[in-house]
Formats: sequence, structure tokens, C-alpha cells
Amino acid sequence: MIFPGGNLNLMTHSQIESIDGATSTLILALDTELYPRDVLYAAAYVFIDRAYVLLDRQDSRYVVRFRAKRPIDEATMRGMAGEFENELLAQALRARVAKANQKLIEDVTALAIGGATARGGGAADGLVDLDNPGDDGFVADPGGLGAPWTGEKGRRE
Amino acid sequence: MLEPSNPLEADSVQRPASDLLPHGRQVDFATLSSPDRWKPEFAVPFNQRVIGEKVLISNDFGDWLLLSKDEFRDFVEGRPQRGEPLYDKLVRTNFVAAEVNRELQAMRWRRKKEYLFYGPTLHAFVLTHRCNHGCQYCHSSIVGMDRYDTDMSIETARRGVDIAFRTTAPGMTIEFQGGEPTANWETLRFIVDYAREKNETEGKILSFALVTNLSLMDDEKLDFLVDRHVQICTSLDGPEDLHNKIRIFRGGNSHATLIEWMQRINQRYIDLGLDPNQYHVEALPTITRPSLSRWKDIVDQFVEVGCRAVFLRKLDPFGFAAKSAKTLGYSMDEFLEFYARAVDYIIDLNRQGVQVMERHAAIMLNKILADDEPNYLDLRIPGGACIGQLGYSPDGSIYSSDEGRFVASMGDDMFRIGSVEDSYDELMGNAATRALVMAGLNDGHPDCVSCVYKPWCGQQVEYNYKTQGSLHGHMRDSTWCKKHKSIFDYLMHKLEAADERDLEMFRLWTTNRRLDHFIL
Repeated sequence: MIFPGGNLNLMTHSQIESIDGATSTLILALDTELYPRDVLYAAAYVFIDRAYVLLDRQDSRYVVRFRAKRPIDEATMRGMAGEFENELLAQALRARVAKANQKLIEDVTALAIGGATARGGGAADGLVDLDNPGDDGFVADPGGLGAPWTGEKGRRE
Repeated sequence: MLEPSNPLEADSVQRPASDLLPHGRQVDFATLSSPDRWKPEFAVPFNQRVIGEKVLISNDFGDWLLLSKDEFRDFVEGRPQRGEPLYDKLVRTNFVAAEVNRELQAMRWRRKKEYLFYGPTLHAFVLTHRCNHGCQYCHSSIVGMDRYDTDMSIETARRGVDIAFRTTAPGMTIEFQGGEPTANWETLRFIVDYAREKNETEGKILSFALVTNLSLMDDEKLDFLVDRHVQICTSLDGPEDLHNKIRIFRGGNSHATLIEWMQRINQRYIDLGLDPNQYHVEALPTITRPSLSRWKDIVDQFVEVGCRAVFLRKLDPFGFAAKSAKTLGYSMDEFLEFYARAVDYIIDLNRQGVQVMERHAAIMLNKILADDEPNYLDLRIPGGACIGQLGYSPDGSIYSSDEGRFVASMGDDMFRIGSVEDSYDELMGNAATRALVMAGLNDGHPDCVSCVYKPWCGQQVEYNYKTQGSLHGHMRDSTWCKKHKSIFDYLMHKLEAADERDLEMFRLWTTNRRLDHFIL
């Protein structure tokens, strides 16, 4: 059964592109503006025990292809589509709350660790700022862990 | 997807468990609240799961609440106002971002994560691979009783104890395992006396535990163990027919020997004036296929021999257990059904006044109800590999854990982090140790970060590796995740439905009394 993609400008949630009972395959599409990519990944991950999941992007839509690992009927696939939409919402809420208040959790953790290491307990003490790591051991890599194991031109050293 | 490497796991992931184990599920957001009404700045980061008619929410501090669906919607939409009962409830449990006391929560975090600030506390010494039992599921690479070449030498033991004492932890337990550890009695005696002598200057909170089938016990050995305050633990799989079917002892009746010695040892504790409710031989069952229909018999057997806790352990994927999967194995769903029946029965016994608990449940309830961290190495973050425990093999190899050693006994030295020839610092700081610790963090697992049980759950990297071929595992397919999530679901449904009497019973299960007699 094939469904038209619909007018993407009117897309407010994911839509079923096609359902193929013979191969237990479900294809969904959603506007790339609807959810951040991380939310899409997190929602898709929830299905990997039941289906092989292929994520793709076509112009301004994400296309999500599920192929069930065991044969399932069309009703079950429609249920999966609804479940995926619900999972997108749950992951989106989680991402928005984390964005708003994750720093609070980080502050508490840094205070706890800072206090334990007798380094003053400032909220940011001891943590590497991944966006601006600066010239500390994280970048200096004294153990050489970040060094490539192949030499120039791909020659193994 | 990787096929599970262990036939024990093969059909266990997708089949629904019995109604005995009600499962949680995702909140139906489509009918609950729309994104334009959410107020994300109101809440601290939280996860959620539907439990019965309620929505369970938890945060990273370990707080939790069961909310009605209307309350949950109001929470998500940031509606509760100061002075309203829901707002007060959310503040008390640290779900309102603006009201969180950071210093207080930092102190609480430190208390529960205390284990992060020191080294391994459990040091498991395998004194020999020799054993006089041929248990069908045995984890270890056991050999016949004449294979003295598999014994740990005194010199290896001395070096091992020296390393163990280098731990930065204030307390440590030396555990004796095998094979049958009492078969290498000379080394056992040496370790106990050497560690006690060493501790006179080291000043650790030291304890010893012996895991034995009791078949080589005699009065002289018992006198030594009692005199040196060595705690004795054994394996008891249930009533005589069940126990002897699995734990094959060519030298006699394993069950009868075991029960006789348990009674004698327990009597010695009584003679010393110790409370038998606290001080008795601890026993552990291993659940095999023949056990599945015997949940009541197994619990009754433990109550009968004076055990106050039953630790219903699933057959694990290591050692002989993997080889004998066809005859002894079962799916995770079958185990979980067994588990629910057994714990339901234990709860019934409690209501009749019998003091007995299930250990998994007690550990989880300790975290959930008592806000405690019992430092159970399989359910903590990061997991216990290397920084919570070390496994010392007779040849001097040191492994990340017991399970790491079991993997080695199957011919894979993946979890060997060094030997007694290395220094403690080398063992704790090497690349393998760091990799194992990193893999044991729930925050690195896609499913775990959004799981409502994250504050109380944990990882075992050896299990991930053995069942899924990766230290990190993927929890969506993992029977480790399925087991723990299902038991958490089971307990949360019990808590949701609990009356005051049942809540009091569950609180009693969280009461930990330190066994001072066994602490030096």
C-alpha cells in the first residue's frame, strides 16, 4: 500500500509513506524541521530490537525505513508508526528539559567531585569544557591515545 | 545485529513475559499534552514510564514519584504553583529546577557515589581449580582433585594480598573461591593469617568470605574459620532431589553433607552468642531449568535452613553454564516468570510473619526506598569491573572480576588486566582498566540515558561482551537490561499497589545490619 508524501509544508507529525506486508516493511517520512536529528536517532533506537532501521534524508524530509526482524502484519506496522511518533515526542520532551536544566545536574556533580578532591568545589572545577578544551591534558594527550595508528599516506607505522 | 553468542539468550528478548510481571510502557504523549504547552525549564531532567494507572518519574538524584496522568500533564506543562500539594510534592523530591538545593544534592550525590573515590573493595582469590563436585553449570574451569598444579602457590598468594592491600578503599573483603577453595587449605590459611598480620599496620576494615560446597569441611577447618572470623557462604539449589541432580558429588550426598555442616556452623555461631537471624551460613541458589517449577520448594528450603535472604540468580552465560545450556538453560521470560512466582510467594510468607526476602529486590528497594547505595557491583555506575573488584587466578593473573575470570576459563583473556607481578597503580591505570570502566557507564548507553530506572541500575561489561560481543552492549537487545528492567517494573507495580503493611515489609527488606563479628 503506497501513501502520497503529502504537502510537507503541512506536515505536523511523521507520516506513513508505505506499508509492505510481504516484507514487513514500513516507511515513514517527517519534515526535518519537526524534530532535531538527535531526537530522531533516539526514537529510532527504541525499535532496533524489533526491526532493522534505516534513516535517510531526502531534501527536507527524513525518511525512516523499518523492516521487521520477524514477520508482522499491517496492523502491527501501523501500531509501530504510532509508537514511533509517540517516541519522538517523548525524546523531544526529554531533550528540551535537558537543554533547559542539564547544567543544574552538572553543577551538582561538579560540586560533589570538587569537594571530594579538595580542589575547592567550584561548579566547573575539574571538568573539561568540550566546546573550548583549552591547553590542558585533554588536548595535550600525554599518553598519545589520540595519535593515528597509521602513518602518512595510510602506511602502517 | 549480532546474534546472541549464547544459546541461553537466543529466544529471550522479544517474547512477552507472563501477566505475573506487568510491564511499564511509554507515556502516550499524543493524547496527553502537545509540545507547544510544555514548559521544559520548570523541571529538572527526568525520565518517565507508565506503571499501572500512574506515571513514574525519576531524576538523576535518585528521587521518584508516581503521578496520576493529570498530575504528570500538569508537571510537563509547568502548571503547579507554590502552595499547591503537587508543587510541594515535586519540590520535596527535587523535580522543580528552581527549588533544587545544589549543595545538599552534591552532598547526597557524594554519599551515594562514595565508591568512586576509592579502589576495589572485593578481592576474589581463586585458590585452586580442583573440585570434588561436578556441578552441571559450574562457571569455573574445574579439574580433578589430583591436579595440584592448578593450586595457587603461597608466593602468588602473598603477592596477591600485597596488591589487594594497596587499594585506596578503607575497607576490603578477601573472598576465597575455586574450584573448591578448601582443597587448597594451606594457601587459604596463609592468606588469612598474612592478611590479618598485614592489617595490624594497614588498619583496613578487613573481612574474609569463603565460598565453599562444605564437603571438605572438618572440625579443624571450622575451628580455624570461626576463630579467624571468616564468613562462610555456600551453594544450595533447593531441596535434596533438585540440589543433587545438578550438583553432582561422587563422594556422597552433596545436599545432606551441606545441610549437616550448615546446621553445625550455625550452632557454633549461636554458641558464640551471636544472633542467628544475622549470623548463619549464607547460601545462594543457581536457577536451572529443573528449578523453574520448584519456586515454592526452593524458597521453603531456604527458610527451613535459616536463611533470611534468597538470591534468585539466573544461570549466567559463562563457563560450563554455556555448554550445558540445552539441558539447563531457559529463556529470560521463563526466568522472569519463575522470579515473579517466587517473590510473590516470599511476599505471602512475609504477610504470615516469616522473615525472608529476595536479594535482587532488596538491593533495588534499598536504592529506591532507602535512598541508599549498597555498592552491589552489578548495579552501580560505573560497574564494578576493576575499580570495584579484582579476581586473582591461581597462576597469578588478575582479572576485572569473577566474571572476567569466567570468560578467561572459556579461553578468552579479554578481561585479564595484569598479574600479581604488576603494581597496583599499573593495574588501576592501564588502558584495559580504563576501557572497562568507561564501558560500564550508563550515561554512554542510548537506552539507559532515557530509562526511568537509570538512577538505580548498572552495567556488567563482561556480560555485555559475552552475550553481545561488545563491552558496551546494546541495551535494547540485551537480556541484562530485560532482566533488570522487568524486576524494576515488577517492584514498581508492587509499590504502586502497596498498602501501608506491604510498604513496611519492603522497608524492612532495606534494613542493613552490619555483621560486625566478621569485620576485623
